[in-house]
Amino acid sequence: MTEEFIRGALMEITVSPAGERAAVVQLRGRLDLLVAAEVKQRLAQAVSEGFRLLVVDMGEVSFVDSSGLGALIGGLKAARLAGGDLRLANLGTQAQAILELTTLNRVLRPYPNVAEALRAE
Amino acid sequence: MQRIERHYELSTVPSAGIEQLHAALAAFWPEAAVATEAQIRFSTALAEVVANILQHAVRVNDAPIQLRLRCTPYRIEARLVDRGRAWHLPATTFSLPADDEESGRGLAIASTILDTLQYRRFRDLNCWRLVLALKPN
Repeated sequence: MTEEFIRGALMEITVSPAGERAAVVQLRGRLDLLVAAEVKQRLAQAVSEGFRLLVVDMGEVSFVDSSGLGALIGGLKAARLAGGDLRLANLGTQAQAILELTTLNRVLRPYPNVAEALRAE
Repeated sequence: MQRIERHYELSTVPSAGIEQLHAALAAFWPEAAVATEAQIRFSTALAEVVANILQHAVRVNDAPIQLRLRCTPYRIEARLVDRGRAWHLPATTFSLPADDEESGRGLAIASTILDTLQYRRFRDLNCWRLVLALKPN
């Protein structure tokens, strides 16, 4: 079993433009130590492609661990360095719980859905 | 609910070990029949401890990690035993790093969730014990 297959089975990442400088990053699977580096790299790549607002759609993320949170923090830092922001939308119960436990909901602000995350000031 | 106890082996190859952990939890929770919130909290804590073992203690050729999950009306408990290197953990509680740090939260998350997070070195074994007390109905 190749590493690529393992990763592909665990996490799908889709980046879709949502306006001139915004993109929706859809994640599917578990956001954990096995995929954290790849997710962080894809978020940084989206910023380097010119997207300033990244909305991460977490609706199909079944589980988040501390490495996954680290990847989101990495993406947030890349976006802010470029004068932008990273927002989370559609969090499941487990993702919401780990965000609150770590108090990272102060910096990784969760929104009920993608549309509200894109609209927010 | 009666007492339920199950044993599992987790590969020391991270991708396989994590997959086996989630499969073990998916099999255990329907039997244990505890509240969803407790399942989520305990699964989150256990995944952090296992991730730490896989990343920092064992090597891919080591013997599998032994996991025992136990559920009673009063508590959920996990025991993890591995043959990896010994840990030197802080004697006090684990603290969360600054918000902009990208690592270092795993054991702080586990210790925040759990009522007991205990580590002991016994001969050449690392032994972890995780306990979440259940609220009486």
